[in-house]
Formats: sequence, structure tokens, C-alpha cells
Amino acid sequence: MSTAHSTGLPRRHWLYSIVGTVLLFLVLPVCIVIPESFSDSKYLSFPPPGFSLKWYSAFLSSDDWLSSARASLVAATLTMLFATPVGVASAYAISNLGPRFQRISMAFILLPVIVPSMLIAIGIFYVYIRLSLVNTMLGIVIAHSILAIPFVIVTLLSALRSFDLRQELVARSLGAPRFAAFWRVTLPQIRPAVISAALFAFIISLDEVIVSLFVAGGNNMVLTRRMFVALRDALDPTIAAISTFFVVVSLAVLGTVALLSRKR
Amino acid sequence: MRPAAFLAAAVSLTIATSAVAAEKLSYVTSGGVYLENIKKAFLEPIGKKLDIEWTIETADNDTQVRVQVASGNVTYDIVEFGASQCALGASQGLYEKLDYSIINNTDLAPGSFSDYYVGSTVFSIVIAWNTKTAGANPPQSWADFWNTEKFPGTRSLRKTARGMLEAALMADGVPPEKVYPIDLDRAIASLRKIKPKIKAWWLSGAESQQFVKEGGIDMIGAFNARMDSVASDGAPITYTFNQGILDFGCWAIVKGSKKGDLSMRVLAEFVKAEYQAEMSRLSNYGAANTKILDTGKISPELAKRLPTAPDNLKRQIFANPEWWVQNGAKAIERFDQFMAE
Amino acid sequence: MSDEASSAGAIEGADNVNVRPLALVARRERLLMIGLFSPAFLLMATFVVLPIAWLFYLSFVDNAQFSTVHYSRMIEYSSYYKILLTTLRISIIVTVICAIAGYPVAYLLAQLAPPWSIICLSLVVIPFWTSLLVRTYAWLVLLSSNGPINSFVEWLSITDKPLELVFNETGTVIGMVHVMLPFFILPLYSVIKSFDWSLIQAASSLGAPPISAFARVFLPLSLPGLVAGAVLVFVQSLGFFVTPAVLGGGNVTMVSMKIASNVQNYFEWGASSAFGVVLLISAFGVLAIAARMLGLERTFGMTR
Repeated sequence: MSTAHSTGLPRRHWLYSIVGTVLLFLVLPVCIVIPESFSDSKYLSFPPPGFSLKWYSAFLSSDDWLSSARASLVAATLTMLFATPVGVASAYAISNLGPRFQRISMAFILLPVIVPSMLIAIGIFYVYIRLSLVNTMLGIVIAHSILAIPFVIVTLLSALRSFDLRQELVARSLGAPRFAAFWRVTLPQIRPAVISAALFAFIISLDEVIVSLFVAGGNNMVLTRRMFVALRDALDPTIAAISTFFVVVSLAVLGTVALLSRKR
Repeated sequence: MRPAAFLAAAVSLTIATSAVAAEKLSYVTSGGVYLENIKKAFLEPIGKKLDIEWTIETADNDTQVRVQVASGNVTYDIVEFGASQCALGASQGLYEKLDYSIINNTDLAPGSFSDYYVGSTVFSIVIAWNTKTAGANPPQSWADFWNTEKFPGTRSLRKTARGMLEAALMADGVPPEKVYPIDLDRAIASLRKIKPKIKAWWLSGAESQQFVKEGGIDMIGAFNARMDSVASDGAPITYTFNQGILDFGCWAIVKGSKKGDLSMRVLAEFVKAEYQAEMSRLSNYGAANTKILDTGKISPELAKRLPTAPDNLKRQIFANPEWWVQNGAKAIERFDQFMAE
Repeated sequence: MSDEASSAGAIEGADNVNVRPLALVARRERLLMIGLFSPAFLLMATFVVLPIAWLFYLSFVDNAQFSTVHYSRMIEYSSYYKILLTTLRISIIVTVICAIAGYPVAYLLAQLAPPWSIICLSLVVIPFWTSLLVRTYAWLVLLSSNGPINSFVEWLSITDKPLELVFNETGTVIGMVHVMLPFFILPLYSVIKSFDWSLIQAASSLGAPPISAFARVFLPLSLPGLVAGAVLVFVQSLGFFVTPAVLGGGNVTMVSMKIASNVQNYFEWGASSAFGVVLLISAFGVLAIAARMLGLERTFGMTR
């Protein structure tokens, strides 16, 4: 293993073994999910007693699961499409504002990260009951966007900070309208950050449980909510199959993004 | 087919289907295997008979009902929950009053219906054990279950007040017929004795099955049908109906339902013995209707295993709905307090 | 911080050169920025601040009258106090473990060259791609008394009885550390990555032994990242719900579980809100201390 910096800092075998153990700890549950999804047992047991594809067919042949998968994908896509531009606009504004304003706006934007999610969930739930937004796709997208926007903004801010905003000014001074200057000069340079922010938004929506437990039921019951309900009824490997399915979907999204950004 | 002809055919097809369109009615219950059986036993035949197209939704709690009643935007019609939820909801005005001139309640078990709900399936929290680890000397009463010296092994109980308070009292020596009215202090004191020995508290039926199948639990207070099903999957599990605590599921009509009359007619069908017998046959649950054995659908073998079979019934007690309606909130609060200790 | 200030200053300065120094231009610029910021602002105000203010109000209302009953009940019944204590204790333990386990990973990760850095980094983010619920149930399987970890321990014949790893606080902490660890490692990693390594090299070339170079130079430099990560982990841990519900086996009750059960089962907004307010105050208290120590921006990991 080579290191980028030869610093003379303590770098001993015990360090490698600690890091190795921690990394193993991190991937361990993921490692058992995939084999578990091919189990032939009705219960969650490891190692699986035998091989079977029945949990995939249970997932793919169930209208309930499929409609939830659809609801989840729609919610995640819409959240991504909504939270990303809102986040880009805010990050751009924040990086252009004075330090005092920056401090206040950041504290505000980061509220969803600071406030315990259960409190956000029942707060949104309370407001949604009055606005009849419970179980609507609009409501789910708004709720998920609120949770995603802080991550989008933080990701973009660090990119904007390393970008010299004077470049945009030069473009404007050469006569480019403001928006065009942003679109042609700034955006292309922060594009990797925009893409990872969008992916963040997608994943946050896809994996969100707590708020969804309150506001994402009925015809728009997202997968996490349905999994939570289903797990009360039967702890079988269907959820492992779905999760494996989603790892594949996520990898496909990532791969597509990687391919697209290479093409340009 | 030419586009115009295709279009015409498509249009006539939609007209045709809309002409026979059945009335829509929503049915809400927890999902999974239970729902599959409910569909086969009740929804499909009754839907055919009354020309109803079901909109089925799954819900693990009655929060949605509260949301709809509070906001006045009611889309639910018939809901099915556990009796404690029905009773609590009824006391909070979530459900329509039932019309027993339409619903025939003469065959229903006493206590399984009220002004606002009728019983569906009957189940029992029984003492179950692993035949490999505890089979030589299985517990036969809650007192045995509480006695960890004579009956060693890991234990699990349900994390709810309903049922567990009754079990705790019987364990403490209260005769089954004297359980009600529940002495909360005594019940909690008794639970406090067993708490350090409870390895895990289960919340859902699925958890109880996972615990005995894979979780290393030797003795458990769990639903009879859940233990039947885990046993049929090859787990070494058996149980006794001794001192089982019977409870039931229930149907109710959500307050403000736009299909109140139709829902009432549906409930009148739901309580009939023929459908309830079919449900018992499919699920091993007992039924609120006491005449299911007369339908001939239940084999003598199955009849013996149902919690509502006469032989089993006399060994168990019914969770008392009236007591729970009046004291449920307080009891649950006390139980939650106790769990957090 | 000074970075942004100078670039903002540079914009104004540039405007002054290119356009005539009109206050109007600066004002329009400000309005535009505020306009761009407003969608996010309105969302947060409507769906985060307003509801929480509402819950705050509800926590002081009983039967449509002002009342502190929801708070006095918390004092009266010891269980609320115990739930809060459990929540704080678990959050602290999770934070400490994340710091101890996460710091070496971020430290080593920042020094690795590709492809190892990429491989290790993807191992850190892999859990993000697996559903939280599924990961939690995966731990239930892994940790159970006849699960793989106990089989392994038995095979090593360390103990004759299976370890009690699940249905208790241990299981809850393991599950929570697993969820929070990437959130700790990633910001710290980016902080360490941006270090001026020449400083550390200078220290060691001046003869400082590795340990003291680490303790005197490296650790203080990475402290802001460490604290920022720890604060994030702690605050998020306070609100955990799924993990203790599944891995606690009913033996662990955290604040969120009580709040959820009050709302879902009884529609008890007052009691839930009061408990939520207490939780929020705990979270803000920790943040305030961290902000005082390090400055707000650093706390939120805004420093590069």
C-alpha cells in the first residue's frame, strides 16, 4: 500500500488492522443482505439453508410491492428534480452574500439536520393534516426535499467556494447576461458537485423512513413504509430481495451518471 | 386493425366496462398473509355477491383514520384492527354507530361486539415453548412461565399492556375468573419480577416467530396461529391453551364514510358463519361467530386446534373489552412507564 | 470564512470598477440573491420552523387552555426522565465509538493514494446504498444468539454461552454506530484531506518524533473536523427511531419511540410535543456549546 504523503506520522500495522476491522464492520450487513435474498427459508437466517429465487418473484409478482417501488422511484426522482435546482439557487445566493447573512442563512438551511427527525416528522404531519397533503405525492416530495436540501447546499457550497466567482464576473463584464454567465461559466465547473448533490437527494428520498411513516401511505405508500409494515407481518427475505434490487438500481444510476459525464 | 376501428373498439370497451362498474368500497387492514386470507374468505365472495369493487389499503395503526376524521376528508369505509384499537377509537368518536337491525349479532360471542365494532377473528396469547430446549419440562401456566428456577430458559413476552397484565396477575396467583377488574399495581409488580428474565419483548407477530425460530428464545407468550405457522415451517415449537388470553380483531365503519349504508350491509355479511368458517379454515384463527362449526367447513382436527373450540375455550380467559375501554389508556400509560424503568 | 468574504468583496469591488458606484446595483444584486434563496427559505419556514413553533405551542396547551401539564407529567413520571437519560446515554456512547473508530479510518483514508483510497472510500459509502431498514434487520440476523457472529465467537471458543449482542442497548449501539459512522468519517476525511501536509512534514523533519508530530500538529489541525463530525453524530443519534425499535427488542426506549407512539396511537400532540421540545433543547444545547467553542460555520462542517 502506498501513501500519497510521506509524513513520518505513526503508520503502523495496528492502524491498518483497526481500519480494516472498521471497514469490515461497515460492509458486513450489506454482505449478508445479498445472499439472504436468495434464501429458500421463510425466515431471516444466516447462512441461508438453500438457494431460491422465490423472494424476487414474491416482490415482482406483488402489486403492492410494485406500486410501492413505483411510488418510491417517482418520489425520489421528483425530489431530486426539485431539491437540486432549489439547492443550487440557494448555494449560489449564500456564496454571494455577506458573511453575516451567510451565517444566518446557513443556520436556517441546516435546521432539518439539527432538529431530530421524529420532531420534523410529526411537525410536517401536523401541518399536512390541515393542508390535506398526507399521502399525496406532492406532500412526500416536499417533505423529502426538505431533508435533502441541506445536503445539496452543503455539497454545492464547498464546490462554489473552490470556484473563483470572478470568472463569472469577467463573463458578465464581457456582456453576457447574468443567467447566461452562470449557465455557461459557473455551472459547467461545478457540475460534478451538482451531480453528486442530485444523487444525494435521490438516495435520501429513497431511503427515508421516519417522515414517510407519517405522510407516505395510502396510494403513495413508499417502499420503506411498506417494508416497515410488512416486517410486522412477516420477517421474510422479500426485503432482502428488494434491497438487493435497489443496490442494483443505485449502481445503474451511478454508472449512467459516470458514463454521461465521461461523454461530454 | 385500422386506427379508427381500433379506437371505436377501445371506446366501446371502456363504455362496456363502466356500465358494469361495481361500487367502490375501501377496506383497510394490516397486510400480508392475514390480508390474503381475508381476501379469499371475505372480500372476494362478498364483493361478488354485493357487486363491490374493493380498494384495499394496508395500515399498521389507526393513525390514518384519525387523520381522516380530524380533517373531514374521509376516504376509508371499513377498517379492521385489533380490539383494543377499535375500543379506543370508538371511545374517541372515530367510528359510526352500528345498526344491529341490519347486522345479525345473535350468534356472535358475547363481548366480541359493541355499538361501534363487531368481532372478526379470535386469537389467543398462549404459552409456547421450544420442544428441544424446554420440551422435557414445559411451563403449563403463567406461574410456571414466571418461575425461572424450575423452568429454566430464555423468555419473551409481548410489549403491550393488553394481555400481559392478565398474564402477570395469573402468574401472581390470581384465579383466571378473578383477573378483572385488573389490579394494576399488583400486575405491574408481578411483571417487574419477570422483566429481568425477558430476553426480548416482541411487538409484531412476525417478530415473535423470528424470535423462536432464529432468536434463541425458549419460552414465549405469543399468538396461537403464529406458533402454528412457525411449527408447520419446521420449528420445534408447541404450545398449550392453558391460561391463554383470548382477544379478537374487529371491523368498524369510519365516521363520515360516504358509503355508510353499503358498509353496514357488508358488515352484515362479514359476521355470517359461512365466511368466518372459511377464514378459520384458512388461517387457524378462531371466529367471533360461535356457529362456524355448524357450517361443516371445519374439519374435526382443525376444530380442536382453534382457540374457540369448546375444550380450549374453557381453559382460557377473554380479554375484557369493557374494562379495557374504561381503563385502557391508564393501563397502557402504566405499562409504558414500567417498560422504561 | 475569510475566503467568501474576500470573494464577495471582490464582486462588489469589480462592480465598482465596471459600473458606476451606484448603491442601486448593489441593492439589486442583494435582492436577486435573496430571491434565489427564497424558495429554500420558504420551504424551511413553512415545513420546519412553523410546525415546530406549532408543536411548541401545543406543548403548553391542554383542553384549549394554557397549561404546563405536559411538562409536569414528565417530572411526575420517572419513565420520561429515564427515556431521556437512555437517549442521551446511547447518543453519547455512539458518538464516542464513532469518534474512536472513525478517526483512524479518516486519517488513513486521507493519506492513501488511488486505487486504495477509492476502494476504501467506496467501502465507507456502501452502507448508504442499502436501505436503512434492511441493514437494521441484517444486524438482527448477524447478532442473534445463533447468528453468524456468535457462531464465530463459539468457534473461537472464547465463551461457552452466546454473547448477548441484540435485544438490548448493545445491539442498539452497534446498529446506530453502523448508521452514523459514514456521517462521521466523510466530513473528517475531507478536512484532513485539505491539510497543508508540508506543516506536518516540517514538524517531523525538524526532528519531532512521529507521535509528538501527530499530537502537536495533526490532532489540533483535525480537531474542528472531529468536533463537527461528533456533533452531527450526537444530534442525529438523539432522534433515532428504527434502530432501537428493532434491535432493542423492546428493552430500549428512546425519545422518538415514545413520541411516535403517543402520536400514532393516541393522537396525543401535547405530550409528544413537550417531549420533542425537551429533545430539541438538548440538541440545541450541544450545538450551542460546540458553536461557542469552534464558531458556527466550523460546527456545520463548512470549513474546507
